[in-house]
Amino acid sequence: MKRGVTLAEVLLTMFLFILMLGVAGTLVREYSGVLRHSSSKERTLRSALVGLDRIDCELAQAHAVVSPATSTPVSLLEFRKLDPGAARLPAPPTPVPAGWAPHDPAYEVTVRYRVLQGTLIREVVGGGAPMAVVQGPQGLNAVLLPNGNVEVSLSIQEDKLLRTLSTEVFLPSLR
Amino acid sequence: MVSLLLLILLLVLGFAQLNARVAQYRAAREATSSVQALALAEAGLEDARVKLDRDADFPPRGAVDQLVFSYQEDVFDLDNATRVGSYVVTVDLRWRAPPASIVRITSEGQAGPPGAPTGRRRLTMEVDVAEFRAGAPNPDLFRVLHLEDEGGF
Repeated sequence: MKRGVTLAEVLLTMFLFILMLGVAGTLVREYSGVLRHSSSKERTLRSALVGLDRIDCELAQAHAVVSPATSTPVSLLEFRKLDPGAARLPAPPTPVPAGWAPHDPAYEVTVRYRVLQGTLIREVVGGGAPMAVVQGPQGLNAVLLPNGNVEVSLSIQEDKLLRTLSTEVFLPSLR
Repeated sequence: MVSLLLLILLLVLGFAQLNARVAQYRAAREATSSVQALALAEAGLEDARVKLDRDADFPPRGAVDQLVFSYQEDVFDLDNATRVGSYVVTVDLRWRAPPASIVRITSEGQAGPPGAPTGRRRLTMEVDVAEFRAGAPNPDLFRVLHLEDEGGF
C-alpha cells in the first residue's frame, strides 16, 4: 500500500526549499552586483580606449601641432591637418594649377581635443559645434616629446583610483 | 524534486550570464582584428614608400600610359609560416608630373584568412617626389606629405 506524505513532511520540504532558494538568490544577487560593477568599470575603460584610439588616428594625420608646443604637459590638444573634404588635387585630365603647393593653409583645418565635465570633446575651429567623442574621461594631457612625437594621456576614475591611459603618436607628415 | 528544480533554476541563470559574455568576447576579437588590419595597412604604405625611394623602376609599368598600379602581399608571423593577413597597395601616379609631383599610395590591410578577412583598414598617403621645389632642392623628397585614415570596414 502506497504511503502518502504527512503535513509535517510537506511543511519541512517547503521550508528547506525556501531556505535553499533564499541562499541561491542571495548568491545570484551578489554575483550580479559584482558583474554590474565590473561592467561599468570596463565600459569606462573601453570608452577611454576608444577616445585615445580616435585621437591617435586623427593626430597621426597632423601637419602641424599647435598645442602642446613644448615638453610641458597641457590639457588642450590642437593641431592642423588637411581637410578631407577639400578638392586639393583636380581629377585628371584637369591640369594642376601652375602655382600649386603641397602645403596650402587654405586646405587645412584646425582640430582641438579637450575634456570638459567628464566628456572628451572634439572641435573643428570655425567648423560648427563641438562634438562629444566619449563620456568618462576626467582629464586630458598632451606633451611634445623630444623625438617629435606627441604623447596623449586620458585619465579615468576607477572607484578611488585615478587611472591614466597613454599613447605616443608618431606624426609622419609633420612639417 | 526540490534539488532538481534548484538545479534547473541555477542552470538557466548560468546560461543567461554566459550569453551576456558572448558579446563582450566578440567585441574583444574584433578589436584585435582591427588593430592587426591597421598594422598591415601601415606596413603596406611603408613597403611602397621604401620601394619608391630605393627602386628607380618602381612601380613597373605595364604600358607607357599606365598610371595606376596595384599589388598584394601576404604577411607572415615571425615563424615565416603563420599567415597573419595581407595588404593591397595601389600606387597612383596621376599627379607625378610637376607642379604637383606627388604619388598617392593607398594601402588596405586585411587581417585574417584570405577571402574572409576579419578586419580591414584603409590608409592613403601622399609622397613628395619633387626633386626641386621653389627652385631649391626639396628637403622633403620621398617624405610623407599627407596621411589619411579612411577607417575600418
